[in-house]
Amino acid sequence: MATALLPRLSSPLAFSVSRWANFYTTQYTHKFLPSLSIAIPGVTINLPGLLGDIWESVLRAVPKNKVSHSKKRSRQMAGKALKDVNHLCKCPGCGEVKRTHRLCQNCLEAHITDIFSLAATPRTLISASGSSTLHVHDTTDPSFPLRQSIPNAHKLGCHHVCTSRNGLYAASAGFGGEVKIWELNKETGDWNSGGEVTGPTVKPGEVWAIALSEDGGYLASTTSDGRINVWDVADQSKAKIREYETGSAGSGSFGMCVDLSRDGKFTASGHQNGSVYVFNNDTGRILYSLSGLAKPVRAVAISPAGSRVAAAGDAGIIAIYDTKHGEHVGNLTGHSSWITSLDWSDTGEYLLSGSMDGKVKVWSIERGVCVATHSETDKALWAVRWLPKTGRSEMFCTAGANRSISFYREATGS
Amino acid sequence: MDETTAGSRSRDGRQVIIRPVTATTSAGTVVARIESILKDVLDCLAEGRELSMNFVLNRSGSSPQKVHFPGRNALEATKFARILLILQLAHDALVSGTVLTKRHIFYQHQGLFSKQRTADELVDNLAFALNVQRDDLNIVASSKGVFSGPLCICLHEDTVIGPAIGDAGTPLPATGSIKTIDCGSTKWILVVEKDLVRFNCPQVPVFVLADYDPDGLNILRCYRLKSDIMSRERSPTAPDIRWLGIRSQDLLELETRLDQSATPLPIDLQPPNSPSSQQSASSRTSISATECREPISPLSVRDRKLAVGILDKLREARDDPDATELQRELQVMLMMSIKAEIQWLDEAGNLTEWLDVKLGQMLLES
Repeated sequence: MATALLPRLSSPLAFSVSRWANFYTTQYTHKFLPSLSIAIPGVTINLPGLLGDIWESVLRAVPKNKVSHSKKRSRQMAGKALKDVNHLCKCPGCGEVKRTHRLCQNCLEAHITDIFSLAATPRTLISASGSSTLHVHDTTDPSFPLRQSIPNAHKLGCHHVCTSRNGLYAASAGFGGEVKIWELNKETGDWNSGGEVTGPTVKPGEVWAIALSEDGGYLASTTSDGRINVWDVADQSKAKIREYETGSAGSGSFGMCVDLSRDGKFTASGHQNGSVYVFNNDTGRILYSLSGLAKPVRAVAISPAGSRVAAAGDAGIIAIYDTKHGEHVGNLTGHSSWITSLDWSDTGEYLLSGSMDGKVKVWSIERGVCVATHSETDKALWAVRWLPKTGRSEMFCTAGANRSISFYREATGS
Repeated sequence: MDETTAGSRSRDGRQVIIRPVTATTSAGTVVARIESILKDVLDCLAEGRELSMNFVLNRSGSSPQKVHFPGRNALEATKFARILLILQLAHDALVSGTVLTKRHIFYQHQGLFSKQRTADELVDNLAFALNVQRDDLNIVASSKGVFSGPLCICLHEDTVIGPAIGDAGTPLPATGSIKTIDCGSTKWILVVEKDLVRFNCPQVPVFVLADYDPDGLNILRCYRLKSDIMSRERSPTAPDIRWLGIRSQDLLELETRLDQSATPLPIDLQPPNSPSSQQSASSRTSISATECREPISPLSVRDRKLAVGILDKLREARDDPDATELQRELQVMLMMSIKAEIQWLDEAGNLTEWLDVKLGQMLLES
C-alpha cells in the first residue's frame, strides 16, 4: 500500500514514507525488532498533517474482504438460540427465586444506606440501616452470607437493634418511633415477627435507644425527655412496667444510649448533657448519677460480670465506673473523635470502641491500654460488636457510613 | 422580611424623641465609652469587689441602675454576661469596622440569650445607656430578604430593581409583584436560606446554603424535589439547584475531630497535677468573639418530630437520588442528635472564606 502511494507524494515526504516501507520489509528479521519498536513513534511523528489525512482516506478507499452483516450474524448465532434456564432455586436469604450457585441479586444490593446498628446472637448478626429492611447474616459460615432479610420492618429506616443474651429475641426501633419484637424460630432458624410495642403508654417518636434483658423478657428504652422505660415484652400486652425519671418530669436530657446488666440488676443510661445514670432494677430507684463526661454520652455498656460501667461519647474518652460504689475507676484515652459505640467482650477482658473517624479500638481493661486499632474507612462507624466466641479466636465486626460490615478476627491470645 | 430597614429607623426615631442624642457619634467616642465601662469592671476585679456596671434596665427608667455579677440571683448574673458579650462584640465590630446584625449577636451564643428578643432588647437598651444610636454600635437589625450583585428584578408595573451594588443589599420585593428576573452576566446565584422563598431563574446554577436542621433540609426538599408547593405551581424549567451546605460531612470534619491539646478534659475526669490542664485552661482564657460562639446545638423534640415528618414525605420520592441523599442527611442528623445554623460556619461574622473554598470546589466539579 505504501508503494502505491509514493508517486503521488512530493519528494521530502517520500523519504519518510520510504522509511515507513522499510519498516514493513524488515520487521520479519527478528534481531532488528528492538530498534524497530523505537523507530515507529519516530515515523509517525514525522508524518505531516496532510499525509495523515491522505493515509486515512486511502485506507478507507482500498477494497477490503468484508463479511456481510447478515452472514456474520448467521455464523454467530449458529446453534446459540436462547435456552431455557432451569437451574433456579429459592434464595435462603430473601426467599426470592435466584439462579443456583449464583449470588442472589436481591440480596447483593444489601444496605444502600448507612448501617446504624448491629446486634449479635450466637449464630447470627442482625444489621439495621436507613432502609426499611433488616438483614440477618449467618456468622457460623466464614463467608458471613446473608441468611434472611426482613423487608418493610421499619418504613423510615431503623436506628437501633438489639438481641437478648440467649439469642432467642431481638428488638428493633425505627426512625418513625415504632418498636418491633422479633422471635427466633428454633427449628427453621428464621426470625419471625413477635409483635410491636404499642398501646396508650407509647407516644409516637418516644423511643430512642433500646436494650433487651438476658432472657428477652424485658425491654429498656430511652426517651427524648430523659426517661427510661422498661416494658414487659414477654407478655402479650407488652405493658410498661417501670419508668425512671432523670431530672424533673419531662425536662430530662435526651437519652442517647441504654444498657441492661446480664443479671438484670442494673440499667445504665447515657444522656446528651453528659450524665450517666445507673438504676437498681430491684428497687426501681436511681443508684448513681455520674456526670463526669460533660459532653454527650453516646454509648454505655455494663461489663458481663456487672461490676463495671463503661461510658463514652463526644468527649472522646471512655470512662470506667464501678457499680458497687459508683466510683470513677479509670479513663481510656486515645480516640481522636466522638465515640459512638462500645461493647464488652464475653469475658469482660476487652472493651471494643468505635468512633466517628472510622477507627475501632480494642482496650485491655486489666492494663488500661489500647491493644489494637483498626480502620477500614475514614467514614463514621455507627456500631461495633463482638461476636459470641465460637472458635479459638475472638471476632468482632464494625459497620457505619461506608454501608458495609467489616469482620475482624482478633489474635488477642498471644 | 418582617423587619425592614425602614421599620428599624422609625423605631430609632422614637428613641431620639425620648432622649435626644447627638446624631453622629464617632466610632472613637463609642469605643472610648465601651472601654470605660470595661475598665470599671476590671477595676472592680482588681480591687476584689463585686463586678458591676451602669446600665439602664428599661427604657422608661430614667436613672441608670447597676448590674452586678454574681449579683443577687442567677438572672442578674446572666444579664451581666449578656451585656458583657454584646459590649465585646460591639467593640470588636467598631474596632474592625464591620457591621453586625442583631441576629448574628443572638447566634454567637444562643444558649445565653435563649430568645432573639432578649438580644434585641439588650442591644437597644445598651445603645440607650451609652447615649448613642444603635447604628453607632455597628449593629443593625437583622437583614432579611435582600439581594446583592448584578441582578435586575423587573416588576409587573415595569419598574426595575437593581443591580444591587454595595454591602448592604437591596430588599427583595414581594414574590407576586415580580415579572422576570434578569440575570445578566451572572455566573451563579447563592441563596442563603433562613426562610422558604420561591423563584425561577433557569439560566444560571443556583447554590443553596441552608441550616443543618430539619427546617433547612425541608427547604432543600422543596427546592430539589419540586414537591408540595412546587408541583401545584407551574414551573417552566426547574433551575439547576445545588446544595452548598451545611451537610453532615461539614459538621463531621469540623466538630467531631478532637484537638487533644485544645480540649480540656472534663473537670471530674482530670488527672491531678497534669501539666496539660493548666495549659488548656490558659489557652481558653483568650476569649475572642470567634471563640464564644455556640458551636452546635442539640435537637429539640420539635426538631425530631419535624425530621420524622420529612422522612415520611421523602418516601414518596424514594427512587430520586436527591431524596436518598436528603434521607441520609436526616437520619444522620437524628443519629448525631445535633443541628447547626449557617452562623455556625462564620468566623466572627465572616462567611467569605468558607464560601470561597466551597463555591470554588462546586464550580470546578460542574
